[in-house]
Amino acid sequence: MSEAGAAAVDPIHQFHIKVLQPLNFFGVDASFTNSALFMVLGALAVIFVMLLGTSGRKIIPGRLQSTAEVFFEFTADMVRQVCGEAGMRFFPLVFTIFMFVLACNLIGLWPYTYEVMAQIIITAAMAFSIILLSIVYGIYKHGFHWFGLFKPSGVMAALLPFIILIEILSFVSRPVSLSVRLFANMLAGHIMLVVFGGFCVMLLSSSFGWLSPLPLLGITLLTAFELLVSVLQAYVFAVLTCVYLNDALHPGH
Amino acid sequence: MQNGSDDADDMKARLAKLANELQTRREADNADERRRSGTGQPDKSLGRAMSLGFRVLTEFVVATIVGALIGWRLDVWLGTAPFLLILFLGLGLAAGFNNVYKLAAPPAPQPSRQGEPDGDQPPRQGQQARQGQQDGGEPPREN
Amino acid sequence: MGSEAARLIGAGLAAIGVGAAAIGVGAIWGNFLAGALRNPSASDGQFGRVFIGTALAEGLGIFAFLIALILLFVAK
Repeated sequence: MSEAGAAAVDPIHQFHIKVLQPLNFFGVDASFTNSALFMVLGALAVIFVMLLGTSGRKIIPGRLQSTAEVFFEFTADMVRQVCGEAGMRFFPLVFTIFMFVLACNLIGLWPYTYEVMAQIIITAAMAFSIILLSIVYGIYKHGFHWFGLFKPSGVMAALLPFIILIEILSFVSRPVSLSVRLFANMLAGHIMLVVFGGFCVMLLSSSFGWLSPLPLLGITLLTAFELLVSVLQAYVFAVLTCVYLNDALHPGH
Repeated sequence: MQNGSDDADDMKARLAKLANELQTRREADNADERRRSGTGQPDKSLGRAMSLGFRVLTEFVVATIVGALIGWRLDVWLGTAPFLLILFLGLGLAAGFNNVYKLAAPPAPQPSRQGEPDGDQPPRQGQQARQGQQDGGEPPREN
Repeated sequence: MGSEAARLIGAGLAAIGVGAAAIGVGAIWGNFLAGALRNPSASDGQFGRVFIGTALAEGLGIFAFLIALILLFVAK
């Protein structure tokens, strides 16, 4: 999309990893990158809100304490509703995941920031860890009875091999779909934002400069939509984490 | 007949007054219902429906692609020409439909749990008596 | 016809499937609107199912798109 004069607006450039501080950990490249910086910022934001919010301990909470309480109650309700009371042992994990994804998504909406969840490796690392945890915990708690997850009740014996194979495929597709969902949403949203911004700049540097408020309006609406999508995708990730962990806690079927 | 027409006028006046009251009561009820089911619900239900739709899309497409990938790698490993690819593509499609079915018609919850997973599931139609409200999932009212 | 030209033509033909997905989605929403205009109070309860149907139709269109992409960039 290179027009006369203006350099081509590359929507992928915003996702480039820039090494801020090269580090070497026994031959493994553990450099501190811009992605790591924004992950640290996201974690610090969550820590700030939760620690400062719960330090007052007033009976009638102020704004920050109320915020912390709302996040806590919302996640606790979600875990209890999906997994029952036995699922509360996973509450710290689910809360961490939800708050971290939410904070990273929201931070990525500001200009000149880096969207952490727009890298498939990060979402895949989280998703695969969650599924691995659910498998390990399921086998630890239920032994080989956990494999009954793949055998739904009330199936004809002739179909059973196919049904078991299909259920196994469904299960294997879980971590992939969990990671791809968050990644694709964040990637697509931020690419759209940069593309519309590019339209704005290109229109300004051409003879149709009077049209440039239109992409600007587009960016505004798109940012509002991206806000909704960021929060929603964080919520969906957390809910699905609860659902998959619930399959380890109660392998019903 | 003076009295008769007075009575008739009285009747008419009372009827008109009752009709007015009924009209205002009906409008208040409608406004109430609209308010209860309308404030913010379009946004919430739209977001919920879109997240459900995107979940279905992702799980369906990913299950098929994962099946195709497994079939392709097994083909390359075992040397069987495209048969395993086709077989696992079909299995992946079936797994995708399995995922969508579980999303659209979730199985009955275990008795040990209070409620059902909230969020990305369409309102269940009458399979369980639900106290709480979901977006638009109220049982139809008789008019 | 060289294989390069055949690949490109094949990719273009495969992309027609994406238009078929658009027709499918339009059919779903058109029928939903027709039903919703007849019974507005029941339409909110089925709104989730509309998106499920949309997702299924779009998924199959994505497969057509994937085949086009594979022909363009992966196949030799």
